[in-house]
Amino acid sequence: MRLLLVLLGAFVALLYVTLYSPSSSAVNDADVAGAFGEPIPGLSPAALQDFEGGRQTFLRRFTRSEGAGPHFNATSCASCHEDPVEGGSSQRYRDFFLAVETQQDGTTKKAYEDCTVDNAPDAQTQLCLPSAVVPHYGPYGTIASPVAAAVEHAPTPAAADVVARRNAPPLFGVGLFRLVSDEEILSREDPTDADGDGISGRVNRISTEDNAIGRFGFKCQTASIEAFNRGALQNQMGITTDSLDLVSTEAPRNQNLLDELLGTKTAFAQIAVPKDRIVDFDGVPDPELSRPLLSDLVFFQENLAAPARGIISSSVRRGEAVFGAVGCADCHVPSLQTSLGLIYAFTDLLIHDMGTGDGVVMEQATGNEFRTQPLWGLCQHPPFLHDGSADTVRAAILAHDGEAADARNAYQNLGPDDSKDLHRFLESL
Amino acid sequence: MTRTSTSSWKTTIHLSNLLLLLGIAVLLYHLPFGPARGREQFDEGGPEFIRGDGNNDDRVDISDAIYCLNYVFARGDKPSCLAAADTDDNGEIELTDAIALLGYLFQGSSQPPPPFPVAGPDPTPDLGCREPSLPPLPEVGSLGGPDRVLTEAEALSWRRGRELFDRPTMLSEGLGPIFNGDSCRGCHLDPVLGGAGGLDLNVVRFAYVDGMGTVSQLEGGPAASRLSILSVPRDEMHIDANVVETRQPPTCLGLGLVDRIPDAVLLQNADPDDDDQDGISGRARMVNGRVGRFGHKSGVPTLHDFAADASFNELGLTVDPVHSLFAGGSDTDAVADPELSDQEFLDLAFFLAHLAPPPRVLPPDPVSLDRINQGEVLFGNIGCDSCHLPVLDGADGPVRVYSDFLLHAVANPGRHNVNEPGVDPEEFRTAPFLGLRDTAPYLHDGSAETLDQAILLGHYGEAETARNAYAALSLLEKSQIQAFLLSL
Repeated sequence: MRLLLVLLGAFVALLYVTLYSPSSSAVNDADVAGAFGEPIPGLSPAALQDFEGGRQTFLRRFTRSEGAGPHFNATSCASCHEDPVEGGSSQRYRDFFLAVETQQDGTTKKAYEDCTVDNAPDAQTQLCLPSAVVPHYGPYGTIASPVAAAVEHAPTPAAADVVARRNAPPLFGVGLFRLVSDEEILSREDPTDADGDGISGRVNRISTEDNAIGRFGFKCQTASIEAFNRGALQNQMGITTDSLDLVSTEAPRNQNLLDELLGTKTAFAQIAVPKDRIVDFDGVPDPELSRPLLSDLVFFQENLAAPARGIISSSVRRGEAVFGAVGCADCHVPSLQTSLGLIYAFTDLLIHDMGTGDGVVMEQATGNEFRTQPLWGLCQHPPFLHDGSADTVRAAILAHDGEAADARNAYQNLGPDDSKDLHRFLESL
Repeated sequence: MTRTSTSSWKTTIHLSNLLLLLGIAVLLYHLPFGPARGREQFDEGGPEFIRGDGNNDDRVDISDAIYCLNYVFARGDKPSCLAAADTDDNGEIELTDAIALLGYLFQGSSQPPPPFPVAGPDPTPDLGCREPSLPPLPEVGSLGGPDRVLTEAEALSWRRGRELFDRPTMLSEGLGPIFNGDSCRGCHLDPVLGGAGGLDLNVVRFAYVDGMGTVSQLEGGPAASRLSILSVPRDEMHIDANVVETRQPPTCLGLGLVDRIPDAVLLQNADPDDDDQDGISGRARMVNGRVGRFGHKSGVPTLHDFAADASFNELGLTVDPVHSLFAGGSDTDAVADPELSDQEFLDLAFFLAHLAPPPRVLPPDPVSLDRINQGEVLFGNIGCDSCHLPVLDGADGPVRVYSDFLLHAVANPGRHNVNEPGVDPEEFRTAPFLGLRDTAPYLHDGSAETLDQAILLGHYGEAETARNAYAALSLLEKSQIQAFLLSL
């Protein structure tokens, strides 16, 4: 009898493992999921050390004397990527704006006055900004400064005909997108809608990064995590950096580590390498973040674990079928092939015309084109959408238009059971 | 013989069942779960639930027990419907909920209390189904904890207030139309919830200064908002603004102590005409019949006013004006007013009123301690304590906050500052030292990265004598004063 009970226990346990464990998946799946803020499994001790170093830099709050500014919105990466832990997203209080001026040819340019290295302005008296990001803080005005207001609290420039809002997205698993091959992304491209399904996703090639396929940012406007970091450091924090230049002949800071990593599944491979130095005019010597620290910072984000799936109940399984039937999965494709195996990010890394947008052109992405936002970790991220305009998943779905109009309509026509299952599925991501 | 055998058999079953149960629990605990997550969106239906359905999948089964164990032991996320996860309906999510559920499922124990097995509303509304989990009560007197022992009802109010302080406000709950933050925590988070905010969370005040140096307020001023809801533009500075003053979010830790200082105690230190001719002429700012004490210019008289003012001006949340003359009773977003219910506002105010002042932590080694003590003596000797009064008589005994809460003309003459009605640009409240060690950068605008800078950059006018005395100290003496201040 006792044996029977023990067997029963074992059976129940096995049944559970079979039914519920997310690890009971296909052999080809990449082993990259983990708790929020943790590294992907399998990093070497040396790599883990760099990952932790990167985390510290991610958390580091810069003071003005350390280089924050002259203009900034945040003083640390974790200011905006904090929820539920560093590397995550942010609530609306960290939203920021992009101010651009539409050109006659339909492109947009930043609405702030241009500034270049050759024409270094006096940061204490001029409002000269490197990007379209509207900064909230600037150098303290003084009685002697005639434009104190402009430098302390940058106003939205009068030339801006488009002011777009952004809500910080989570970074969990984002490094895995660099391990998706160009071929894998291009295989789903259909810029002219040749198959006539109403969906015409295309890649966004980045002219400033050797025409590599952009895969980071709401408009796929960046091809490498390094560029993504260096841009945000400059535009949001006023922290300057030099290129890591890891493909140049110049030895990177840690050749041993690089050799080790290149021999493993977490190769420190970048899609493209931004080469320009970034400088600013706040009186602190550039670069304000050294290359070793930037390298760790990039490494941290390249190796943040992908969000793990929640409990997969029968309702969730039914919801996943609804997700496909409605047409969501046409763009939010469940899996992508990476060099490590399949990842389940629910994106095609293409940009799509959403029929509505923010008017900001980024490289080849037009005002209405947005990257299919990855859905993994979805439940950790209200508010939703690029501008944080949706309180709920439902509101976010209803905001889909253009290429996604059919899927949205199908969603609206779902019966209550299907709708509930679909939401349960989305909440399990 | 037979009887013995039967009895033994029953015992065996009982033990086996328990072992089985324990085995399953241990096994499940060690399984490689990802964090089980999920926030109910409540797109369809109201807060109905099935007791025991912790993972909210409309079925009561072993996965609910796992979800609960995962939450309690393995950093799993909060159940979206707490009342459902509270299988034994005792108001707490804990191990016993999983045990009770496993007992029901596998041992034939009694079924969970209603609503069960059919979904329904909670007959014993305690944890709620919509509400996120209430945080546990921190230790009395700890950093971010309550300031005294609370009764059960008070503790519940405090925890609800803390949850409200922490929770991001959604558009559907009334955020905006213009706002700087979407939660109190958004700006008051250093080093714990309820604390101060960093340089990148300053709020903005603007004004106009003419050629004669006269500062005046502009239309729409003095505050500019950082953000707005999408249907309205953010509230930018007036185009003619040429004076900007950013203001740091101050700590909320210990504000209840400040609130409970009687007016008479503050007024006895006022000397508006400098009758004693010591060069220091602090004056009380009377607001609605009480001495103002909150805000960098003492513009807010009570803690209720502080909570109502910040709810409206920083988050855009309306409160019934019955609670405070500072409450915004209505706004222009689409959400019905008041957006904070009476209960919510009172919970928030109670939490703030009983948020402990940061405990002082002194180093154990005699050398450091001696440096701190020397610094404290110097602090008095050079006259810092003329305004930064170490102790005031509060309603509950002595209050050690190093402030007189009076206005003094101290601003740096090289910097712009805005005026407020009846308060000159150069006048500021003596900043209290509540957890000073955790509130860098310093001064109202965060322009001082170090205490040395704070003393030298922010103390002119009435404070200039003390400032110059500090500047004349040796490096050792300065470091002693700084060590003392950093011990607060």
